[in-house]
Order: sequence, then structure tokens, then C-alpha cells
Amino acid sequence: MIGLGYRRDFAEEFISGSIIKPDFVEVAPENWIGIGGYWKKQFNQIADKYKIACHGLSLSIGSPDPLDFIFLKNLKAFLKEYNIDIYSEHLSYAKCDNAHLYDLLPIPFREDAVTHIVERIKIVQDYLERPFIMENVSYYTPVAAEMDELTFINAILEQSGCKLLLDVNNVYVNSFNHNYNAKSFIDGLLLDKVAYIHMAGHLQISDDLIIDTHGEAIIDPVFDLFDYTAGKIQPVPILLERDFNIPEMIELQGEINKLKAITNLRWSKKHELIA
Amino acid sequence: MNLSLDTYTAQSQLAKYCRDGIAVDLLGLTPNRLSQYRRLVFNIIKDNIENAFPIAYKYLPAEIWEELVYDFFSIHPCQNYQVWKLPKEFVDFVIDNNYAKKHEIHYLTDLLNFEWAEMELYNMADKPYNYGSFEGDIINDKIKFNPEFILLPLEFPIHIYPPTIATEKKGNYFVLLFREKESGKIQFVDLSVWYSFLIEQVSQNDLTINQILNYAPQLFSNISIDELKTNTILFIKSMITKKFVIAIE
Ligand SMILES: [Fe+2]
Repeated sequence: MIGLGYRRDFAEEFISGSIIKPDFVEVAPENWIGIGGYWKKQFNQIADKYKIACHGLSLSIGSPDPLDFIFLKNLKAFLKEYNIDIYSEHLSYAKCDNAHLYDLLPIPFREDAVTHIVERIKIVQDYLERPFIMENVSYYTPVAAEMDELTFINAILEQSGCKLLLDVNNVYVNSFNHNYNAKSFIDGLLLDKVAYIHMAGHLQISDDLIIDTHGEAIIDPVFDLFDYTAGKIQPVPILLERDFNIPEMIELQGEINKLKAITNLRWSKKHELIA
Repeated sequence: MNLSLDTYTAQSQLAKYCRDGIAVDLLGLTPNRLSQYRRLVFNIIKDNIENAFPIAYKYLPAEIWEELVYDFFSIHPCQNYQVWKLPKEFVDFVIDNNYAKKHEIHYLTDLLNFEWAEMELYNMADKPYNYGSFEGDIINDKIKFNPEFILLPLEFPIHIYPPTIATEKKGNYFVLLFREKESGKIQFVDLSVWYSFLIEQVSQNDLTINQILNYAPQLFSNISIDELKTNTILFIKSMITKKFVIAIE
């Protein structure tokens, strides 16, 4: 299954389904909890037509701040209302010292952070009564790190029992920004934990820095890395992220088709949208 | 909490830097990269506030606008996990810290409240309702309003004029904003004190027009009740057409 991130900018296109034909859509629950009026009507039409997966923004699993149980309660009700099986989040933090930052900050790759996050993942999993999926994020500098990113991610996967949302573009971006080999990184991950994949475009802003913008087409080396990864894992849902600089729908459908072609070659059986 | 003081401090310093842009010294950084975080985070905030207040952004001097947004994000700890509600925190911050007075932009509070009211009403959760019958008597029966509305008192008529003109017309103004059921669009109606009072009384105290008319002599001297009654009937009829009145029963 190949899904597409739902954007209000192309709500009509999703509803008509004439050009763009994703197998499912992904939304940020924070953008939809408690929304009414025009957008709620549109969203209900989307929910009638497509299976929905949720990819959150504000949980802030790596935050020193306590978990927000009011948010979790609203989230749980939302997942239930729309019959959503998959909820994933970012391995980062977006809130600190009682202030939301609305972006993904890098967690120090440290043992105590692993313990802290593992405990919180377990709490969230228990509360939401579903397996939780954590995404590897792009980062532009390590902060106070005492281990490498790979060790950090694997330790969390192993100790928490959560699954991995493998963002292939983020692996590519990080390997470029931090000078490591992307394929070796993929090889080193606990690949049996992969439950979902993100694919996206990015923007190179200098000789040595790529920013994960979700605003460009996916480049060939990222397709190659995806193909390489697909050869090593079981079939899982794949999501195309496109948040800015939205092109003609036909271009996005072209990317979906390309991803489909790769998975058709790599995976024979159907990959269902089950966490 | 399982975090060591070192780890917490690193996270806290990075977050603080993203909020105020004042350089910090953190361990193990790749040179020249940390500024990306400040840029990316602050862009999200700037865009969010700009998009929420297009009129204020257009009319305020750029340096004042920048000061408001900078102060807001660096001083105020943002509380809402939904970024679309952040503009409300911005409005409260600007009001609580008297920026309108400081910069002598008298219409600022009204304008921010007005722009936020439109956004809030457009996005807020549905308050389900159905249209009833309109067979009742406007004066003596109960009038029901579309519950998705905001009644906003203003000192400056920024709902009618551009801010540069509105600022010369200080007075008592009222604007009714309501969400159309079918389209979800927001309608604006400029109201006199009387109609604003009437909407408030009907919606909060469930009074009939006749009961409310009893208060008219206390509110206005030299008022002709008959004339007021005639005008009120016309007003209610126009609000039926606009679909703000949803039943008279
Ligand atoms: Fe992603």
C-alpha cells in the first residue's frame, strides 16, 4: 500500500480521486482533533473514502516534560472516532520547560535518554492500547551525544518493544549531513521492527547540508535506498510525504507509481495497513 | 524522571535557543549547524502568526510586528499542542503586556481579537443544530440563533474600515460573526448597541423580544418603543434570511 500525506491544499483532489489515487492517507491528529465547519466536512469525506493513518507532531516523546494526558485522551478518542489503527510519532522532542516549539528537536543520544524514552513509550502504548511506531528523524547536529544514532534507535526499539517508522529520506539526509554510509545504517537497524516507511524529498542548502523540507520531489538516490531497504524487509505500508511546494497532482501520482513499481518487484504479497 | 541533569540541561538550552535565538554553548555540536534549528522553529512561529493576522501584519510597522512576534515566542511558553490555536495565545500576550499602549497603536487589540475570532469560528468544533419552524411570532415567541457565533464588542470599527481610518473613529461598536452551516463560511454583521444587547439577552437568558423591549427605556432616552419594535422585526427578518435565526417557535 502506498499512501499520501493529506494536505488541505489538495483536499478536493483527494476527494475526487481522479488524478491522485493513494491507497490510504496519513494525517497529523493535532491538525484535526476538535476541528469543525468546512474542514471537518472535507475530512469526513476523506475518511469515508480512504483508510487513515495518524502521524503525530506534539507527543514529544523525548521531552523532559511530563506526558500530556489531556492530549492523549483527545488523541485516543480521535483514533477511535475514525477507526484508525496506526499511530506513529517522531523520535525527537517538541516541548521543553512547559513550552511547545512545534518542531522536531534532536534528543541527546545518551543512555539516560534511552531509559527515559523507553518508559514513556510503554506508558503511551498502554494508554492507547496499540503498538506504537517511532520514526527516525532528520537532525542537523548531534547534541551532547554519548553514543551514535544507530545505537540510540536500536536501544529504544529493543527495550520498548515499539516498532519503527523508517523514514528512508531521513536516513539519506542524516548520512549526508553526518558523513556515514546510508546502506550500512540500514543494515545496522533492527529491520524486523520496521512497520511503516516514509519517503520524501529534501533540499540541499549548502555543500555539506541537506534540510528535510518535504518540499521537493524524491531524488533518485533516495529511491535507490528505498529499493535497497525494500529488499531487506517484509512488506509494510509506505507513505509519500509532501508538505510544501506542492506540484501538479500528476507528479505526485508519478512518485506513487514509482514506489509501487519498486514494491511490486521486491514484495510479492500484499502489504496491509496493520500496525 | 530518568534524565540526568546534564541531559536535561542540554535539552533545555537547545529549546531556549530555539525560542530566543541567543547563542548557547552545547557539547558535541557540528559547527554552524545549530542555527538551523532556531531558523526552522522561528519560521514556523512567524508564518503561523502572520497567516493568522494578515491585516495586522500588513498595517503594523515591520519593526513593531517583529518585536511582538519575537517577544511572544521568547517570553511566552506556548501551551497549545495544536499550532492553529497559537494565535489566541499571541492575542492574549499582546493584550496582557500592553503593546497597544506602548506603541500607541490603539486599534491593535480590537484588530487582533477580530482576526482571531474569524479564525476560531471557522475552525472550531461543530455545535450541532437543526433549523426549526418560523411560524411563531417574532415579538412574543422564542427566537433561536445559530449557536456558532461570536459577538465582539469593539472600540474601533476595524470590521468596517481599514485600520488607518478606523483608528480615527473611536466609539462603541459591535460585530456579530457567525458560521454558515452549509458552506462553513463566516458572515459578519455590524450591529448597533440595541441589537447586540438583544442577541446577548436572547442567547444567554432565553428572553423574548417583548421581554427585552421592556429594558429599552433604561438603555436609551427619547426612544420610541413602537419604532424600535418595527425595526427589530425587520432586523430579525433579515437575520432569518441570513440564516442566523434558525427558528421562531
Ligand atoms: Fe517522515
